[in-house]
Formats: sequence, C-alpha cells, structure tokens
Amino acid sequence: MSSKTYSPYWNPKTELAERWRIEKMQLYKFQKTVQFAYQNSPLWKRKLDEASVHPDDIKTLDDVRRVPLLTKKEFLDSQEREPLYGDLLATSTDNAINYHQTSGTSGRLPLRIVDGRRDWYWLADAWAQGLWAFGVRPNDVAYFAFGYGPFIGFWISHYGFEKIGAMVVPGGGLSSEARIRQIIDLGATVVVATPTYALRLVQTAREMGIDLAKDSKVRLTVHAGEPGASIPATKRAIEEGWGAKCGDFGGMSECGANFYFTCSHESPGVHIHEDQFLQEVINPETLEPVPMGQRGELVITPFGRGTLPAIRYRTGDLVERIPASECTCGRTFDMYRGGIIGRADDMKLIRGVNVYPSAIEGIVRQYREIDEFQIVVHREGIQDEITINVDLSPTYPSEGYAALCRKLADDLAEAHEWLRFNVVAVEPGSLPRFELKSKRLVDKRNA
Amino acid sequence: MCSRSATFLGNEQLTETEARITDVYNSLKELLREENLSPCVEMSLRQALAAMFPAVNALGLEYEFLYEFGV
Repeated sequence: MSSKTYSPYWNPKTELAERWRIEKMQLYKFQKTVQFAYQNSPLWKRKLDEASVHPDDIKTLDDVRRVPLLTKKEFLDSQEREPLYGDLLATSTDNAINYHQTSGTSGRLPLRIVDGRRDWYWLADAWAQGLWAFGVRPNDVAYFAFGYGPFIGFWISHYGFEKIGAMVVPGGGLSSEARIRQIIDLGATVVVATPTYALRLVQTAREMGIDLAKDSKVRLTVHAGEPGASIPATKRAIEEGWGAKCGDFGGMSECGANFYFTCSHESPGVHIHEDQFLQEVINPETLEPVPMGQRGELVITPFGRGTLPAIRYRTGDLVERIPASECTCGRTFDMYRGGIIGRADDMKLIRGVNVYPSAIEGIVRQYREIDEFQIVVHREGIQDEITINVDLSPTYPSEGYAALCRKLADDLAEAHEWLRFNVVAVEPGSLPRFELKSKRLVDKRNA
Repeated sequence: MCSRSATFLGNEQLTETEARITDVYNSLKELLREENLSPCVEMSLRQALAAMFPAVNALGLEYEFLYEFGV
C-alpha cells in the first residue's frame, strides 16, 4: 500500500497562481487557439473575416470581445450544411479517436462531436483536476452508474478517474438493483451519476431494504449533466441518502471537459477551471460583460479542444461569478455561486412571472415524500397555467396527499410572487424516471 | 533541446525539472518524425505525446496543437 502524501492541488502552479499570471496564461492560450482556428477551420476563417478581426489583433483580454460569439445554431447548421462534422472542423477526422453526440432536440439532428488524442487527454486531465480538488485519490473505487452510450456524459470522467489512478467500475447496462449490489459488494467509495439517478438509487435501495448511508462505503458522489448537485435541497437529499459529500461538476458536449468543480471545502460555489478555459459572463441581451456577482449567460472557450474549436461559445447557462476569496481552499480560481442557476432558454414566463425549473426543483426536493415530479406549462383559454405533477413515495399514506399538495403549492407561490401553481398527486411510480439528463419540463402551449 | 527559456505563466526561467520535462516532450515529437516506425512504436509514441501534453500545458511550458503528429 502506498503511503505517499500528495499535494491537495492537482496543479499548484496554476491553481494557486496570482490573477495576473492567470490572465497572462489565458491571453496566451486564447491567442494561439484563435490563430489555430483561423488557419484551420473554414467556419472560423469566415466568421473572423466577416467581423474584420485578425488573430494578431488580439493583444489584451479586452480584445477577446472582438471575436464573434459562436452559437449552438451555427454549430448545428454547419453540420447540416456539410455532413458529418461541418466546417467548424479544424483537422482531419483521421486524427479522431472517438465520437459522441448530443441527444438532439427540437426535431434537429444530434450535434456530432469528435476528439483527437490530444483533446481527449486534455479532457481527462481537466476532469482529474476537478476530481482531485473534490478529494478523489488513487485508492478510491469509483462506481459509474452510467449507460456508456453515445452521449458524452461521464465518458471523460471515467478517464479522469483512471488518470488519478482510482479503480473504475463501469456499471453500464445493469439494472439499478444490480448496480446497488455492486456498489456494496465492491466497496465503492465514489459514485458517479446524474443527481436525479443518484436519488433514484437511494429510493431503489430503500425498497431493497438497504440504507446506502450505512450499508455502503461511498464517501463522495460526483454529479454532472444536470444542475441538481448545486441546488441546496437536492444536494442535501443526496448527501443524506448516501451519507457522502455531493459534488457538482459542470460539463457540456460542445465545450468538452468539466469546466467547473466542487472542492473539498465548504464553499458557496463551484470553482471555475480558469487554466483550461476562458469563461466569460455576459448579459444575454446586450452581450456585454456583467459585473462580478451579477447573473448572466456563460460563454466558454475551451483551451484543449482543437478538433472542433468552440471559441466564445454561448452556453445558454446562467451563472453568477464570485471571487475565489469566498472559498477557504486556497485556489485562486473564481467561482459560480450555486453552479448553473438555470438556462436562458428554460425560463418560462407565466402570467408575467419568470419561472426557472431549477428553482422549482429547489423547493420540490425539500419534500422527501416526493420521489419524482414533472412541470407542465399549459394554456387554459387565454391564460397560461403551471401544474406540478408529483409522484409520491408508495409508502406515503394517500390521505395525506391533499394537504401535501396544498402546502407545496403555497411554498411555490411564495417563491414566485404569489403565482398560482396547481399541484397534482399522480399514481405512484407513473412519472418517467431518468438515468441521464432528466426531462421534467413539458410545455404544451405550442403543441 | 528545450525550446523555451520561460513559462507562459510568468517570466521566470525554467527550473531544471521543467527543462527536463520539456526535453522529454520534444523528444517524443522528434521521434514521431522518424519514418518506418512499427505501428506499435508509432502509436505508443502518439499516446505518450498526448499524455505529456497536459503536463507541459499545466506547467506553462508549451501550449500547441499536435494534429500534425496524429495526436
């Protein structure tokens, strides 16, 4: 057994760097990334020429804003115009070692992603950096409750754990019951799953007579794919259900790796990978940067993915950036308070009130009796209505349904300028369950 | 063989260890330019170069695109 004592920082040289060094590094990498894209990606050559920007014009971090933003629509349009990978592609696919795709939405084709060897090793390293900060070490046994399909999901995380030297157990293709047995039998110390699926495993274990907080050795749960692990009520439910610390790790197919992580300290937010990405927060209307602490849309430039260079990519995710000094871990990487707060395109305007699904989840998850829920937005006559269908635990007595629904409706209304919510208890077990990204929002207004 | 005298994180000179790490990285690139490598050797070198990239990147020694090496 190794007794080596490691640094708490994966890369102290960047994680503890002064702000001027971080900015010098970001500018250097941004300049080289834009130069590479201009020379090799037809889409970027066209975009930069149309904007009358040459890579040599970028001399300061303020100049970054001269580079036009990239949208998901442009990414998708490029691939539809020039199948398979579009003219964003900056190198031959002969250099690619793997393929992934998004789930495809709004009747469009899925977004296709390819990564070269360099990209893939960088992606794994970024994950390893975040996992190390969270407390993952070589002697950990990491259980992946993940289906290993074409969605990039936890694939890179798998390689991040391997890079650290942890033992990876792939739980793909197994039932929830079989996964729970393996987690216990193999002494897993870390579980990797979406927040929704982690809660489902807790419920399934209870039905099997197993208390994961007592009967497993799990000490850390690692989550991505949904914002739940930073929603206080969801985080608390996961931590109580597993008897473990719950971590939020942001990532998306278009930008590759994990771009923020939870450290091992009690912190008001998640740390930004400032050495691996340039992350800006902008006003989605004016496209101007918002001040520290204010909500805005996250725009990302990954520094490790050259195959499909997503420079200044508009994520649609809403965040609030706060300074690194609000955490005690010593890292100089700034943070996002509460992770991803919502998505600009997920916000629903109901009778003049802004409603975010993540805010609803934050309230619904305070009710431990609710196993699953669904948000339905619909129109009655000329009026928009919002109904929350709740799927209660089979052990919860049906005579308590009405009172619980009334109380939840009051709590939701209080948090939303007294907007009326209809709360309906549905047949237990009738709502869909999710292993990957959950789809709890149904908007019937334009159906 | 070291191509840099300072990191892109600051203007300090490279330490001896950093210079040696840069040499290892550059040696892999040099080796990949050789012809008639067996598939086993060439692919292993590609793997090794890809694996070294995060290290030189982390230390501020090198940041570049390696597709010309099939990496």
